[in-house]
Amino acid sequence: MSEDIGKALDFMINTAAALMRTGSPTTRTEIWVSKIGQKLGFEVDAAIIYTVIYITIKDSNGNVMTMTKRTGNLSSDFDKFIKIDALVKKFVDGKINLSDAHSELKSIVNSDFSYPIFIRLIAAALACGGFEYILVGGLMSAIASMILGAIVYSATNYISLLDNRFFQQFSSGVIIAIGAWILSPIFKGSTLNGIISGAIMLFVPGLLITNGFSEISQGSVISGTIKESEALALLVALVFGISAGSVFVRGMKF
Amino acid sequence: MNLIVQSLIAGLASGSFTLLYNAKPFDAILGGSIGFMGWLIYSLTFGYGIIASTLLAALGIGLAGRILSRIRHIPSQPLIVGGIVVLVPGFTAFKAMNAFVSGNSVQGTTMMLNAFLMAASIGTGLVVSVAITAIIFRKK
Repeated sequence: MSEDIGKALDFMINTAAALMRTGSPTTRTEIWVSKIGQKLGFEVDAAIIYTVIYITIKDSNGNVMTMTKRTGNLSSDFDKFIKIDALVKKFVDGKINLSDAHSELKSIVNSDFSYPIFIRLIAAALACGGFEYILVGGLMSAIASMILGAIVYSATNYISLLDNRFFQQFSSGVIIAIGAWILSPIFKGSTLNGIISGAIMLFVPGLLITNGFSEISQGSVISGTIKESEALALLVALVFGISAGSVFVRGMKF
Repeated sequence: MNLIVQSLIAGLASGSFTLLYNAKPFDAILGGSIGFMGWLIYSLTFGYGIIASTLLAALGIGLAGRILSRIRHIPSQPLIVGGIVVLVPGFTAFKAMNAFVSGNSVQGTTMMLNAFLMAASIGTGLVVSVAITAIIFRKK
């Protein structure tokens, strides 16, 4: 266990940050960090409070080192998440050494895999149309939702207005309201309520609400509560955006 | 028949949703299948009330996701997300907030409470599935 304490802590905190940025649950990340530390022969105390990671390690000579890292915005990238998870598993099983694992981690983090824009747009459209059909019903509303969902998805993801999620949600809401108002008379038989219900599904923070509750029930109370608060703020932004859009086009009733 | 069609559409929507988060195509298909199964459980148990059916569907999704993740040696999150997103009370929460904005506070409060209970039942279903799979795989 002659690994340098600084290098070990650096790897641990970078792994935790990478896992959190790609959608790993808080509890799982804390467990992995602890296992990495134990593998290297350290006593580990790791606490992850939403976007802030605190790790303290102590070696057999009594040397203690603590590091704090802010992760910034959390998002989900399952491809990277699965690769990082596999890397950590490999390291904990002793199949790779610290320096190789660290360089592999860096290459995974810096890799840039994403589907071509048309596949992403089709997926966004299918998700919006499908959700509309099962939650509200109506084929014409579902088709209109598919079109609107794809437009709003591309608008928010590829034309990044500002690096501010609250503003992105608000502007998505405005575009959805105006788009629904335009598409409703084109697709005969569709309803405003139906079109909006499908198109908003990509933006409602339902997953954040559910994950927040899961984390609270698993003991990560602070992290879970923060997620619930963020979900509420994002939801308010989306609804206010739709309200603002409906005021803009006037006479729109849900 | 209608139930199967709806469940297939739910599966397609959840698979597409998983793909949007950069999941590999095979994982997206698995996520979609879990979404199909989750909506089927939800629809079949809808008679017991929305909270109970959400809980049972979340439990089924959690169990299927964790067992498949064990088989595939990957984390369960990418497989579960697609299935769960069909159940999340996002639309209910949106309608509640919309009622608040329109001044219908009583309707908004009722809907928000409903959304909270649905989120709580999903959380509970997932936590119970974690416990069950932990017991199953510990015995082996």
